[in-house]
Amino acid sequence: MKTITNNVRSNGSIAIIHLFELEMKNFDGTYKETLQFTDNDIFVNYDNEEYTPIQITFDKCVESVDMSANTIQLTVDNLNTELLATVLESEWRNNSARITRIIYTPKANGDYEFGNGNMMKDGYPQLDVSDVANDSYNIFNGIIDNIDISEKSINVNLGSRFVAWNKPYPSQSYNQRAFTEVIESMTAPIYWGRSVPA
Amino acid sequence: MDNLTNIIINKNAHYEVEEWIKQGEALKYSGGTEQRVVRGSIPSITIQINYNNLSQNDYVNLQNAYETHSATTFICKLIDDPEIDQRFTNLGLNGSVWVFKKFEFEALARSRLFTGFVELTTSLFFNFPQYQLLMNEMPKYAPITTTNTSFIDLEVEPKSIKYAYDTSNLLSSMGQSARYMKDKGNLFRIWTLSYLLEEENFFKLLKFYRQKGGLMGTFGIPLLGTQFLSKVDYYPHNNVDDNYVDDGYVDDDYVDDGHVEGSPLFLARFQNESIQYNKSVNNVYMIDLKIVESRTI
Repeated sequence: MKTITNNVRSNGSIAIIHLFELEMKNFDGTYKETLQFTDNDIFVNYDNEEYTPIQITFDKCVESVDMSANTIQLTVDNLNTELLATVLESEWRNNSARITRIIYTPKANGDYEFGNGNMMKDGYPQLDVSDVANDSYNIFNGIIDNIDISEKSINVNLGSRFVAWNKPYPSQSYNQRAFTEVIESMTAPIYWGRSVPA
Repeated sequence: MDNLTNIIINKNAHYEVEEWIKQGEALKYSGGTEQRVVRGSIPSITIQINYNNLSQNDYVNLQNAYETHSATTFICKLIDDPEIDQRFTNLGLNGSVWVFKKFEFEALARSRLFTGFVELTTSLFFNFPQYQLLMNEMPKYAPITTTNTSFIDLEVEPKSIKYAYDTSNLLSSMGQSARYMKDKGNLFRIWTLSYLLEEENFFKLLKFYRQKGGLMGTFGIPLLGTQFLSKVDYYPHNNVDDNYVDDGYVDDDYVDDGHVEGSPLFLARFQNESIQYNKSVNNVYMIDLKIVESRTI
Protein backbone atom coordinates (compact mmCIF):
# COMPACT_ATOMS: atom_id res chain seq x y z
CA MET A 1 0.00 0.00 0.00
CA LYS A 2 1.26 3.43 -0.85
CA THR A 3 0.89 6.19 1.67
CA ILE A 4 1.59 9.87 1.28
CA THR A 5 2.32 11.24 4.71
CA ASN A 6 1.76 14.76 5.91
CA ASN A 7 5.49 15.01 5.88
CA VAL A 8 5.45 16.98 2.69
CA ARG A 9 2.00 18.50 2.75
CA SER A 10 2.21 20.79 5.73
CA ASN A 11 3.21 23.84 3.70
CA GLY A 12 0.89 23.27 0.81
CA SER A 13 3.70 23.18 -1.70
CA ILE A 14 5.45 20.07 -2.88
CA ALA A 15 7.99 19.18 -5.53
CA ILE A 16 7.81 15.94 -7.45
CA ILE A 17 10.78 14.34 -9.09
CA HIS A 18 11.32 10.91 -10.55
CA LEU A 19 14.26 8.55 -10.44
CA PHE A 20 14.82 6.07 -13.24
CA GLU A 21 16.97 2.97 -13.01
CA LEU A 22 17.78 0.91 -16.08
CA GLU A 23 19.88 -2.19 -15.78
CA MET A 24 22.51 -2.83 -18.42
CA LYS A 25 24.23 -6.15 -18.96
CA ASN A 26 27.18 -7.29 -21.04
CA PHE A 27 26.44 -9.35 -24.08
CA ASP A 28 27.47 -12.48 -22.23
CA GLY A 29 24.68 -11.90 -19.75
CA THR A 30 26.80 -10.69 -16.84
CA TYR A 31 25.77 -7.56 -15.00
CA LYS A 32 27.42 -4.39 -16.26
CA GLU A 33 25.92 -1.30 -14.66
CA THR A 34 22.69 0.41 -13.71
CA LEU A 35 21.95 3.68 -15.47
CA GLN A 36 20.47 6.09 -12.97
CA PHE A 37 18.65 9.19 -14.20
CA THR A 38 16.38 11.84 -12.79
CA ASP A 39 14.06 14.36 -14.38
CA ASN A 40 15.18 16.95 -11.81
CA ASP A 41 17.31 19.77 -13.19
CA ILE A 42 20.31 19.01 -10.94
CA PHE A 43 21.91 15.81 -9.63
CA VAL A 44 19.89 13.93 -7.03
CA ASN A 45 21.46 12.00 -4.18
CA TYR A 46 19.04 9.40 -2.84
CA ASP A 47 19.92 6.52 -0.60
CA ASN A 48 23.63 7.09 -1.28
CA GLU A 49 23.11 6.71 -5.00
CA GLU A 50 23.56 9.54 -7.47
CA TYR A 51 21.10 10.16 -10.28
CA THR A 52 22.12 12.13 -13.36
CA PRO A 53 19.81 14.91 -14.52
CA ILE A 54 18.65 14.46 -18.08
CA GLN A 55 15.63 15.49 -20.08
CA ILE A 56 13.47 12.42 -19.56
CA THR A 57 9.73 12.05 -19.63
CA PHE A 58 7.32 9.18 -19.51
CA ASP A 59 3.79 8.76 -20.67
CA LYS A 60 0.92 7.76 -18.48
CA CYS A 61 1.49 4.87 -16.13
CA VAL A 62 -1.69 2.82 -15.97
CA GLU A 63 -2.23 0.03 -13.53
CA SER A 64 -5.13 -2.34 -13.99
CA VAL A 65 -6.25 -5.52 -12.30
CA ASP A 66 -6.36 -7.68 -15.39
CA MET A 67 -3.32 -9.64 -16.39
CA SER A 68 -2.51 -7.75 -19.59
CA ALA A 69 0.95 -6.24 -19.63
CA ASN A 70 1.32 -2.59 -18.69
CA THR A 71 3.80 -0.59 -20.68
CA ILE A 72 5.42 2.77 -20.21
CA GLN A 73 7.35 4.65 -22.84
CA LEU A 74 10.28 6.72 -21.65
CA THR A 75 11.62 9.45 -23.91
CA VAL A 76 15.21 10.34 -23.12
CA ASP A 77 17.19 13.19 -24.64
CA ASN A 78 19.90 11.85 -26.92
CA LEU A 79 21.40 15.07 -28.15
CA ASN A 80 24.79 14.49 -26.62
CA THR A 81 24.83 10.81 -27.71
CA GLU A 82 26.56 9.79 -24.47
CA LEU A 83 23.64 7.58 -23.51
CA LEU A 84 23.52 6.13 -27.00
CA ALA A 85 27.11 4.95 -26.77
CA THR A 86 26.31 3.11 -23.53
CA VAL A 87 23.13 1.57 -24.91
CA LEU A 88 24.74 0.28 -28.08
CA GLU A 89 27.57 -1.46 -26.26
CA SER A 90 25.33 -3.17 -23.69
CA GLU A 91 22.51 -5.65 -23.65
CA TRP A 92 19.38 -3.90 -22.45
CA ARG A 93 16.55 -6.17 -23.54
CA ASN A 94 14.65 -7.97 -20.78
CA ASN A 95 16.64 -6.23 -18.08
CA SER A 96 15.11 -4.64 -15.01
CA ALA A 97 13.79 -1.10 -14.96
CA ARG A 98 12.35 0.89 -12.09
CA ILE A 99 10.75 4.30 -11.67
CA THR A 100 10.64 5.90 -8.22
CA ARG A 101 8.66 9.00 -7.36
CA ILE A 102 9.92 11.36 -4.68
CA ILE A 103 7.70 14.03 -3.23
CA TYR A 104 9.49 16.60 -1.12
CA THR A 105 9.14 20.09 0.26
CA PRO A 106 11.60 22.54 -1.30
CA LYS A 107 13.68 24.00 1.48
CA ALA A 108 13.59 27.71 2.19
CA ASN A 109 16.56 29.87 1.32
CA GLY A 110 16.81 33.14 3.17
CA ASP A 111 13.94 35.38 2.20
CA TYR A 112 12.54 32.95 -0.30
CA GLU A 113 9.97 30.75 1.38
CA PHE A 114 10.20 27.90 -1.10
CA GLY A 115 13.55 28.79 -2.37
CA ASN A 116 16.53 27.17 -3.88
CA GLY A 117 18.27 26.27 -0.65
CA ASN A 118 20.54 23.28 -0.28
CA MET A 119 21.55 23.23 -3.89
CA MET A 120 25.28 22.87 -3.28
CA LYS A 121 26.69 19.77 -1.69
CA ASP A 122 30.16 18.25 -1.99
CA GLY A 123 31.13 21.20 -4.13
CA TYR A 124 28.59 20.97 -6.94
CA PRO A 125 24.85 21.51 -7.39
CA GLN A 126 22.86 18.50 -6.21
CA LEU A 127 19.74 17.75 -4.28
CA ASP A 128 20.29 15.47 -1.30
CA VAL A 129 16.87 13.99 -0.64
CA SER A 130 17.72 13.13 2.95
CA ASP A 131 18.12 16.85 3.70
CA VAL A 132 14.51 17.65 2.94
CA ALA A 133 11.18 16.31 4.18
CA ASN A 134 10.27 13.68 1.61
CA ASP A 135 8.26 10.65 0.70
CA SER A 136 9.28 8.17 -1.93
CA TYR A 137 7.63 5.18 -3.46
CA ASN A 138 8.05 2.88 -6.38
CA ILE A 139 5.59 3.65 -9.17
CA PHE A 140 6.79 1.17 -11.73
CA ASN A 141 8.88 -1.95 -11.65
CA GLY A 142 9.29 -3.86 -14.89
CA ILE A 143 11.59 -4.84 -17.71
CA ILE A 144 12.99 -3.10 -20.76
CA ASP A 145 11.11 -4.28 -23.80
CA ASN A 146 12.64 -2.42 -26.73
CA ILE A 147 14.42 0.79 -27.64
CA ASP A 148 13.96 3.20 -30.58
CA ILE A 149 16.82 5.55 -31.31
CA SER A 150 16.76 8.83 -33.20
CA GLU A 151 19.10 11.79 -33.40
CA LYS A 152 17.25 13.73 -30.75
CA SER A 153 15.84 11.09 -28.43
CA ILE A 154 15.85 7.51 -27.29
CA ASN A 155 12.44 5.93 -26.69
CA VAL A 156 12.52 3.09 -24.21
CA ASN A 157 9.49 0.85 -23.85
CA LEU A 158 9.15 -0.67 -20.43
CA GLY A 159 6.81 -3.55 -19.78
CA SER A 160 5.53 -4.96 -16.53
CA ARG A 161 6.92 -8.33 -15.48
CA PHE A 162 3.77 -10.05 -16.67
CA VAL A 163 4.85 -9.42 -20.26
CA ALA A 164 7.15 -12.43 -19.89
CA TRP A 165 4.14 -14.70 -19.39
CA ASN A 166 2.72 -13.91 -22.81
CA LYS A 167 5.75 -14.76 -24.87
CA PRO A 168 5.54 -17.90 -26.97
CA TYR A 169 7.86 -20.76 -26.24
CA PRO A 170 10.53 -20.84 -28.96
CA SER A 171 9.56 -23.39 -31.56
CA GLN A 172 11.57 -26.30 -32.89
CA SER A 173 10.89 -28.27 -36.04
CA TYR A 174 10.67 -32.04 -36.29
CA ASN A 175 10.11 -34.08 -39.35
CA GLN A 176 7.99 -36.73 -37.61
CA ARG A 177 4.22 -36.52 -37.89
CA ALA A 178 3.75 -38.89 -34.99
CA PHE A 179 4.90 -36.24 -32.61
CA THR A 180 2.62 -33.53 -33.98
CA GLU A 181 0.61 -33.14 -30.80
CA VAL A 182 3.74 -32.99 -28.69
CA ILE A 183 5.15 -30.37 -30.96
CA GLU A 184 1.96 -28.31 -30.85
CA SER A 185 1.94 -28.29 -27.09
CA MET A 186 5.55 -27.17 -27.02
CA THR A 187 4.96 -24.29 -29.42
CA ALA A 188 1.63 -23.11 -28.04
CA PRO A 189 1.77 -19.78 -26.13
CA ILE A 190 1.56 -20.04 -22.36
CA TYR A 191 -1.21 -18.03 -20.71
CA TRP A 192 -1.30 -17.36 -17.00
CA GLY A 193 -4.64 -17.08 -15.26
CA ARG A 194 -6.64 -17.00 -18.47
CA SER A 195 -8.35 -19.74 -20.44
CA VAL A 196 -6.56 -20.82 -23.60
CA PRO A 197 -8.33 -19.46 -26.70
CA ALA A 198 -9.79 -22.10 -29.01
CA MET B 1 34.41 27.26 -20.04
CA ASP B 2 34.96 30.82 -21.23
CA ASN B 3 33.90 33.79 -19.15
CA LEU B 4 32.31 36.37 -21.45
CA THR B 5 31.20 38.74 -18.71
CA ASN B 6 33.35 41.67 -19.78
CA ILE B 7 32.47 41.39 -23.45
CA ILE B 8 28.73 41.02 -22.95
CA ILE B 9 28.22 43.48 -20.11
CA ASN B 10 30.55 46.08 -21.62
CA LYS B 11 28.65 49.24 -22.63
CA ASN B 12 25.22 47.64 -22.61
CA ALA B 13 22.27 50.04 -22.65
CA HIS B 14 19.52 48.13 -20.88
CA TYR B 15 18.15 44.65 -20.06
CA GLU B 16 14.83 43.04 -20.77
CA VAL B 17 14.30 39.96 -18.67
CA GLU B 18 11.74 37.18 -18.75
CA GLU B 19 11.96 34.86 -15.79
CA TRP B 20 10.46 31.57 -14.63
CA ILE B 21 11.19 30.81 -10.97
CA LYS B 22 8.89 28.03 -10.04
CA GLN B 23 7.54 26.06 -12.91
CA GLY B 24 4.70 23.84 -11.90
CA GLU B 25 0.99 23.72 -11.38
CA ALA B 26 -1.63 24.22 -8.72
CA LEU B 27 -4.13 21.45 -8.10
CA LYS B 28 -7.35 22.72 -6.62
CA TYR B 29 -9.27 20.36 -4.39
CA SER B 30 -13.00 20.48 -3.98
CA GLY B 31 -12.55 21.39 -0.33
CA GLY B 32 -11.11 24.74 -1.38
CA THR B 33 -7.50 23.95 -0.57
CA GLU B 34 -4.81 24.08 -3.13
CA GLN B 35 -1.88 21.79 -3.73
CA ARG B 36 1.01 23.50 -5.44
CA VAL B 37 3.35 21.20 -7.31
CA VAL B 38 6.71 22.71 -8.02
CA ARG B 39 9.02 21.54 -10.78
CA GLY B 40 12.65 22.46 -11.06
CA SER B 41 15.12 23.80 -8.53
CA ILE B 42 16.85 26.35 -10.71
CA PRO B 43 15.20 29.54 -11.95
CA SER B 44 15.11 30.03 -15.70
CA ILE B 45 15.85 33.39 -17.27
CA THR B 46 15.84 34.73 -20.80
CA ILE B 47 17.55 38.11 -20.95
CA GLN B 48 17.82 40.48 -23.89
CA ILE B 49 20.80 42.79 -23.52
CA ASN B 50 20.59 45.88 -25.70
CA TYR B 51 23.43 47.99 -26.98
CA ASN B 52 23.34 51.50 -28.46
CA ASN B 53 26.02 53.03 -30.65
CA LEU B 54 28.83 50.61 -30.08
CA SER B 55 32.13 51.29 -31.76
CA GLN B 56 33.37 48.92 -34.39
CA ASN B 57 35.87 47.31 -32.02
CA ASP B 58 33.27 46.65 -29.36
CA TYR B 59 30.88 45.23 -31.94
CA VAL B 60 33.47 42.92 -33.50
CA ASN B 61 34.41 41.61 -30.04
CA LEU B 62 30.78 40.80 -29.37
CA GLN B 63 30.36 39.21 -32.77
CA ASN B 64 33.44 37.02 -32.30
CA ALA B 65 32.15 35.95 -28.89
CA TYR B 66 28.82 34.95 -30.40
CA GLU B 67 30.35 33.01 -33.29
CA THR B 68 32.71 31.12 -31.04
CA HIS B 69 29.93 30.28 -28.58
CA SER B 70 26.90 29.94 -30.82
CA ALA B 71 26.49 26.31 -29.74
CA THR B 72 28.39 26.16 -26.46
CA THR B 73 27.77 27.27 -22.91
CA PHE B 74 29.66 30.16 -21.36
CA ILE B 75 29.88 31.99 -18.06
CA CYS B 76 28.45 35.47 -17.65
CA LYS B 77 27.92 37.32 -14.41
CA LEU B 78 25.46 40.19 -14.50
CA ILE B 79 27.74 42.50 -12.57
CA ASP B 80 25.43 45.41 -11.98
CA ASP B 81 22.48 43.35 -10.85
CA PRO B 82 23.63 40.18 -9.11
CA GLU B 83 20.12 39.70 -7.73
CA ILE B 84 18.81 38.97 -11.21
CA ASP B 85 20.70 35.70 -11.50
CA GLN B 86 20.16 33.83 -8.23
CA ARG B 87 22.38 31.06 -9.47
CA PHE B 88 25.36 33.32 -8.94
CA THR B 89 24.32 33.82 -5.33
CA ASN B 90 23.62 30.14 -4.61
CA LEU B 91 26.11 28.36 -6.86
CA GLY B 92 28.83 30.90 -7.49
CA LEU B 93 30.35 32.00 -10.78
CA ASN B 94 30.45 28.45 -12.12
CA GLY B 95 26.67 28.33 -11.82
CA SER B 96 26.08 31.45 -13.94
CA VAL B 97 26.14 29.68 -17.28
CA TRP B 98 24.25 30.78 -20.36
CA VAL B 99 23.72 30.05 -24.04
CA PHE B 100 23.15 32.51 -26.87
CA LYS B 101 19.71 32.55 -28.44
CA LYS B 102 19.79 35.52 -30.78
CA PHE B 103 22.18 38.09 -32.17
CA GLU B 104 20.90 41.07 -34.18
CA PHE B 105 22.63 44.35 -34.88
CA GLU B 106 22.37 47.26 -37.27
CA ALA B 107 24.99 49.75 -38.38
CA LEU B 108 24.18 53.12 -39.95
CA ALA B 109 26.61 54.42 -42.52
CA ARG B 110 26.14 57.96 -41.25
CA SER B 111 27.35 57.24 -37.75
CA ARG B 112 29.29 54.01 -38.32
CA LEU B 113 28.02 52.90 -34.95
CA PHE B 114 26.38 49.61 -34.09
CA THR B 115 23.06 49.17 -32.32
CA GLY B 116 21.37 45.91 -31.48
CA PHE B 117 20.93 43.16 -28.93
CA VAL B 118 21.93 39.70 -27.88
CA GLU B 119 19.57 37.29 -26.19
CA LEU B 120 20.79 34.81 -23.60
CA THR B 121 19.05 31.90 -21.91
CA THR B 122 20.11 30.23 -18.69
CA SER B 123 21.79 26.87 -19.07
CA LEU B 124 21.90 23.92 -16.69
CA PHE B 125 25.24 22.73 -18.00
CA PHE B 126 27.12 24.16 -15.03
CA ASN B 127 30.85 24.63 -15.00
CA PHE B 128 31.50 21.89 -12.46
CA PRO B 129 33.39 18.72 -13.44
CA GLN B 130 30.44 16.52 -12.48
CA TYR B 131 28.36 18.28 -15.11
CA GLN B 132 31.04 18.98 -17.67
CA LEU B 133 32.09 15.33 -17.85
CA LEU B 134 28.64 14.37 -19.12
CA MET B 135 29.28 15.77 -22.57
CA ASN B 136 31.80 17.55 -24.79
CA GLU B 137 30.75 20.78 -26.42
CA MET B 138 32.56 21.21 -29.73
CA PRO B 139 31.97 24.40 -31.69
CA LYS B 140 32.24 23.88 -35.41
CA TYR B 141 31.77 27.29 -37.02
CA ALA B 142 34.30 27.51 -39.86
CA PRO B 143 33.64 30.25 -42.42
CA ILE B 144 35.09 29.87 -45.89
CA THR B 145 37.18 32.74 -47.23
CA THR B 146 37.67 33.79 -50.81
CA THR B 147 39.68 36.20 -52.92
CA ASN B 148 36.71 37.10 -55.11
CA THR B 149 36.46 40.89 -54.93
CA SER B 150 33.71 41.33 -57.54
CA PHE B 151 31.21 42.63 -55.01
CA ILE B 152 33.41 45.12 -53.23
CA ASP B 153 34.86 46.26 -56.59
CA LEU B 154 31.44 47.68 -57.42
CA GLU B 155 32.14 50.35 -54.80
CA VAL B 156 28.45 50.78 -54.16
CA GLU B 157 27.94 51.51 -50.52
CA PRO B 158 24.84 50.85 -48.36
CA LYS B 159 23.32 53.38 -46.02
CA SER B 160 22.70 50.75 -43.35
CA ILE B 161 23.47 47.09 -42.73
CA LYS B 162 21.73 44.62 -40.48
CA TYR B 163 23.65 41.67 -39.06
CA ALA B 164 22.00 38.44 -38.03
CA TYR B 165 22.57 34.69 -38.12
CA ASP B 166 20.77 31.64 -39.32
CA THR B 167 21.33 28.43 -37.42
CA SER B 168 19.70 25.07 -37.00
CA ASN B 169 21.65 23.93 -34.00
CA LEU B 170 19.75 21.46 -31.85
CA LEU B 171 18.95 22.42 -28.29
CA SER B 172 17.71 20.23 -25.49
CA SER B 173 16.07 21.90 -22.57
CA MET B 174 14.78 21.16 -19.10
CA GLY B 175 11.93 23.44 -18.26
CA GLN B 176 12.73 26.83 -19.69
CA SER B 177 16.50 26.44 -19.35
CA ALA B 178 18.83 25.08 -21.98
CA ARG B 179 20.58 21.83 -21.27
CA TYR B 180 22.77 20.87 -24.19
CA MET B 181 23.38 22.40 -27.57
CA LYS B 182 24.50 20.30 -30.51
CA ASP B 183 26.46 22.20 -33.10
CA LYS B 184 25.34 20.94 -36.50
CA GLY B 185 27.96 23.08 -38.18
CA ASN B 186 25.46 25.23 -40.05
CA LEU B 187 25.77 28.68 -38.56
CA PHE B 188 25.49 31.26 -41.33
CA ARG B 189 25.98 35.00 -41.26
CA ILE B 190 23.24 37.07 -42.89
CA TRP B 191 23.80 40.64 -44.04
CA THR B 192 20.80 42.78 -44.97
CA LEU B 193 22.02 45.79 -46.91
CA SER B 194 19.92 48.90 -47.51
CA TYR B 195 20.98 51.31 -50.22
CA LEU B 196 20.04 54.78 -51.36
CA LEU B 197 21.55 55.13 -54.84
CA GLU B 198 21.55 57.27 -57.89
CA GLU B 199 20.71 55.66 -61.16
CA GLU B 200 24.20 54.78 -62.31
CA ASN B 201 25.09 52.91 -59.13
CA PHE B 202 21.67 51.37 -58.95
CA PHE B 203 22.05 49.73 -62.35
CA LYS B 204 25.55 48.60 -61.46
CA LEU B 205 24.22 46.82 -58.39
CA LEU B 206 21.17 45.43 -60.15
CA LYS B 207 23.30 44.02 -62.95
CA PHE B 208 25.58 42.36 -60.42
CA TYR B 209 22.60 40.88 -58.59
CA ARG B 210 21.23 39.43 -61.81
CA GLN B 211 24.61 37.93 -62.65
CA LYS B 212 25.16 36.43 -59.24
CA GLY B 213 21.64 35.97 -57.94
CA GLY B 214 20.50 32.58 -56.66
CA LEU B 215 22.41 29.56 -55.47
CA MET B 216 25.09 29.51 -58.10
CA GLY B 217 26.73 32.88 -57.86
CA THR B 218 29.17 33.42 -54.99
CA PHE B 219 31.43 36.34 -54.18
CA GLY B 220 33.45 37.70 -51.31
CA ILE B 221 32.06 40.02 -48.67
CA PRO B 222 33.91 41.69 -45.79
CA LEU B 223 33.09 40.84 -42.20
CA LEU B 224 31.05 44.01 -41.76
CA GLY B 225 29.36 43.72 -45.13
CA THR B 226 31.03 46.64 -46.82
CA GLN B 227 34.47 48.07 -47.27
CA PHE B 228 33.44 51.51 -46.12
CA LEU B 229 30.50 52.16 -43.87
CA SER B 230 30.21 55.82 -44.77
CA LYS B 231 30.70 57.96 -47.86
CA VAL B 232 29.82 61.11 -46.02
CA ASP B 233 32.18 62.36 -43.37
CA TYR B 234 30.42 64.50 -40.84
CA TYR B 235 33.68 65.00 -39.07
CA PRO B 236 37.15 64.23 -40.34
CA HIS B 237 37.76 60.75 -38.92
CA ASN B 238 40.96 60.33 -40.83
CA ASN B 239 42.28 63.77 -40.14
CA VAL B 240 41.96 64.20 -36.43
CA ASP B 241 44.48 66.70 -35.23
CA ASP B 242 44.80 68.56 -31.98
CA ASN B 243 43.66 71.87 -33.41
CA TYR B 244 40.31 70.62 -34.61
CA VAL B 245 39.08 68.04 -32.11
CA ASP B 246 40.17 67.20 -28.62
CA ASP B 247 42.03 63.92 -28.28
CA GLY B 248 39.53 62.79 -25.75
CA TYR B 249 36.50 63.42 -27.94
CA VAL B 250 36.97 60.97 -30.76
CA ASP B 251 37.84 57.45 -29.74
CA ASP B 252 40.53 55.73 -31.79
CA ASP B 253 37.94 53.09 -32.56
CA TYR B 254 36.26 55.44 -35.00
CA VAL B 255 39.38 56.22 -36.97
CA ASP B 256 39.13 53.41 -39.45
CA ASP B 257 37.00 52.21 -42.31
CA GLY B 258 34.38 49.47 -42.33
CA HIS B 259 36.80 46.86 -43.55
CA VAL B 260 38.65 45.57 -40.51
CA GLU B 261 42.33 45.79 -41.33
CA GLY B 262 43.75 42.47 -42.44
CA SER B 263 40.43 40.64 -42.34
CA PRO B 264 39.58 38.35 -45.25
CA LEU B 265 36.57 38.26 -47.55
CA PHE B 266 34.01 35.58 -46.73
CA LEU B 267 32.28 33.46 -49.31
CA ALA B 268 28.65 34.53 -49.70
CA ARG B 269 25.75 34.64 -52.12
CA PHE B 270 22.51 36.53 -52.53
CA GLN B 271 19.55 34.99 -50.79
CA ASN B 272 17.02 33.84 -53.36
CA GLU B 273 14.61 36.56 -54.48
CA SER B 274 15.76 38.82 -51.70
CA ILE B 275 16.10 42.07 -53.63
CA GLN B 276 13.48 44.78 -53.30
CA TYR B 277 13.76 48.23 -54.78
CA ASN B 278 11.73 51.25 -55.66
CA LYS B 279 12.39 54.64 -57.14
CA SER B 280 11.51 57.86 -55.42
CA VAL B 281 10.33 61.04 -57.12
CA ASN B 282 13.77 62.60 -57.00
CA ASN B 283 15.29 59.74 -59.06
CA VAL B 284 16.90 58.05 -56.08
CA TYR B 285 16.59 54.30 -55.79
CA MET B 286 16.03 52.54 -52.48
CA ILE B 287 17.17 48.91 -52.49
CA ASP B 288 17.21 46.20 -49.87
CA LEU B 289 18.87 42.86 -50.37
CA LYS B 290 20.05 39.94 -48.30
CA ILE B 291 23.39 38.20 -48.52
CA VAL B 292 23.94 34.83 -46.89
CA GLU B 293 27.23 33.20 -46.08
CA SER B 294 27.94 30.24 -48.34
CA ARG B 295 29.75 26.99 -47.67
CA THR B 296 30.01 25.79 -51.27
CA ILE B 297 32.40 27.01 -53.89
